[in-house]
Amino acid sequence: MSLLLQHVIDAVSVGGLFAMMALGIGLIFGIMRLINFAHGELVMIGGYAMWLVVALPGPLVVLFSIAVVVLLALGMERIAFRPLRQANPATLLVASFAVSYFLQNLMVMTIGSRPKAFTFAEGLTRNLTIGELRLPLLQLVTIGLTLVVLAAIVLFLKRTPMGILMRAASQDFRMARLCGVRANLVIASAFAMSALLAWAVSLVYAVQTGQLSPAMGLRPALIGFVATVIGGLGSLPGAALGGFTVGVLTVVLQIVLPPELRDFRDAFLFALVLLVLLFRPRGLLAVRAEMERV
Amino acid sequence: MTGEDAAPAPLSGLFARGVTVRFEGVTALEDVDLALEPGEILGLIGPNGAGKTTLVNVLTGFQKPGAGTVGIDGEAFSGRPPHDFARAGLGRTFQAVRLFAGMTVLENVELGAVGKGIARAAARAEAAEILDWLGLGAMAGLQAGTLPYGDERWVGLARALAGRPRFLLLDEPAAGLNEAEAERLVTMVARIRDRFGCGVLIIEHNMKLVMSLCDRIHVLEHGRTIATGTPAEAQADPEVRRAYLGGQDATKPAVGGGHGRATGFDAGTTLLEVESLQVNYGPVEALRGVSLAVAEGELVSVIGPNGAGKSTLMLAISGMVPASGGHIRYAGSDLAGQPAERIVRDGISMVPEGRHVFPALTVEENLLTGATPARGRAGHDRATAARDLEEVLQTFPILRDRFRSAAGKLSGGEQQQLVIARALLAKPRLLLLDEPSLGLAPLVIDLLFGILARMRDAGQTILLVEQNAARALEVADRTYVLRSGAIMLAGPSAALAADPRFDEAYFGFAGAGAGGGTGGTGGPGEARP
Repeated sequence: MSLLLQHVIDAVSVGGLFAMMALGIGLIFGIMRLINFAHGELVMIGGYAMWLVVALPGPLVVLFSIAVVVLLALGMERIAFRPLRQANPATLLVASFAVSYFLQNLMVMTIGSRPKAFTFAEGLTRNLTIGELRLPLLQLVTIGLTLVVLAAIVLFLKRTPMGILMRAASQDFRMARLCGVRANLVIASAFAMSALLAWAVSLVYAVQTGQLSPAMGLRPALIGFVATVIGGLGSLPGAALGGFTVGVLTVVLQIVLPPELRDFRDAFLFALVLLVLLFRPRGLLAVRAEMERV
Repeated sequence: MTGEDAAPAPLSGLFARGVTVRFEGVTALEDVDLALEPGEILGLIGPNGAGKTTLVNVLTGFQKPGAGTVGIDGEAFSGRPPHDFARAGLGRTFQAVRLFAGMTVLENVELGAVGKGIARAAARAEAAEILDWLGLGAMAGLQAGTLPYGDERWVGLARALAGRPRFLLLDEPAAGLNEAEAERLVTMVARIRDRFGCGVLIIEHNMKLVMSLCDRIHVLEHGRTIATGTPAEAQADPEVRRAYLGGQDATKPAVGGGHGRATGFDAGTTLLEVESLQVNYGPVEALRGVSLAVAEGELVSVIGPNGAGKSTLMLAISGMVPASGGHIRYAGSDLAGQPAERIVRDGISMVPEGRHVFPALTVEENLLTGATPARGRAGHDRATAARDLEEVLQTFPILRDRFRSAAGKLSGGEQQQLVIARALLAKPRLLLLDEPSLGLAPLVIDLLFGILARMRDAGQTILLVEQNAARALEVADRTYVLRSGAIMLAGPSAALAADPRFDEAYFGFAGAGAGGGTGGTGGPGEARP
């Protein structure tokens, strides 16, 4: 019983992490058709920002790292992506690769390529014992954080004028401009939101693994892309669903695979991803293709 | 005149019998019969969304008919791949030319022959000969991607001719060509028929060209054949005229406009002034020196066949496409170079063609998005916002019933009302409406134009673009006729409708008049009810 509960908690916490990653990527894709490969570097920089000021009181560490990640996201939008806004998606994708590698190598040059040990909020890594159950606190916190972040995003997108404009812009950007929606403002807000999501991931990820490295953003970013595609590119609920799906699949594979095959878990994971796409080529929640007519 | 011609297609030449095509429930073609004999030139015309390109796709094997048969010389070809059609003697061109950009002109044409099963050496010789004959020999060695637009179209024609097709299908060959080039095309197509003896089927929205070139005309509307006959018969057919100009009554006075409002244009209150506006899409001139004016409180319409440049005019005014020359002045200041969202905030709201609701947003959220510019203005608070919304919901009561539904679930007519309501919430001084009647049922169009008339009477300044000329003339104070990117005629709507020069201005030829131009692909997506 407790084992099953443990598995469920595993699945939900990993799924939540991937869902936040996928949402951050999906938000930007929806609005400007940019597959932002540098999203993983927001996670990485978030980790290093915490590491840099880890001696400060906890809330300050949190505020400082959020500020760094948001400013970085706004900066990459302003410097790298805004001049290319009229360019085709492939150009944007390549630009995001450039940003990604630039940031990674910047960290290698300034801080070094060796992984840094990182301990923050050590209290979170212990287990919580309730009766006979021993639950890892960090996972519960992850689930809680995910729920709070997702709820905040849903509220923001559904209830606030800016959220509604953002959804409008992600469905039909030209029409949104014709409604007087300021393109720069909406896109910048989307990058800020995306940065907040990346920061939440970097907090959980860094605390969980206990170390930082310049390439640490790559894997979550990759999984995040896969999740957005599985969910249906351009759909925000799809991105969240895709994230959870990939997370749950990961955990299920970890459980059901015989130990000697566990090293190849990701191979099985991506095979399943292929299978999903074979049956739902446009993702779980496919977006109706927009018609471009001029 | 359809009567005797509607008999089953003869089993000679290229034929389609009882062809029906449906896309996701939308009927693109319904029980269409067509026959093309070698040596004849047949014009396939019809308003936007009539199904013309779909029919050509069926005739060339690119689209499998849901019911009915297509074939050549009595042999059914339905369901066979396009290359079988090509090898049986079909050549076609495409609306977008689709040359192989990395190959030379000669190789492009050669490929057309090789595709029909001719050996390389013979294909090359024939390609060279065709290019010479068309007068394109000098460009044989050029890379196709480097050609200017007009030449591209000629090479596309040459490619279709390679392999000596018995039937040549041309999909809007004159699109984007200027008057002189279009005339050269007419001459050339006639010469091609004479030299190769092939049957030519031509889709074209340039009515002048079609009427002077074709032996017979086949008219489609909403996927059905509404007329076949000689150009003179088609021009005289009231059904054809109605299909193009709109209106209920098929007789000539159907285009009887004028709602009786005083229509003197007062230059003193000019709100919008477009002067010598030039817009180019690459080498194609979409607008060639268009000038028009809208005074405060007026409803002005711009009518014209598809491809005339109407939507381009709207997009240029709203800042979505840049002007290459001329001026757009609004309330005294020049709009050149202003971003679209700025222009909306300054008071010009545009409702683009094709509705464009935000489908996953609710009606309420769509309306809220529309109110964005108003929110930014001084004196705007919760109370004014609520009042504005209430006012709009009174004009469009259906939106109140659908307030919390996703906009994508609304019917076409409801969506059209939503986008107009959304634009009104920006509190525009000038409202631009692009083809609001497109794809709507007549009853819904009635409702919509009733609302437009009320908005006009309430003093809203409106610039309306319509293919449905009859409706536009009824509701508008003044009307401009736009054709081939230029204003052909202008005046108070009532006077314009009675003007003997109207047909010449609209269709490009004088006469009792069938159908103005059309372009459009007739694809299923365009005819959504």
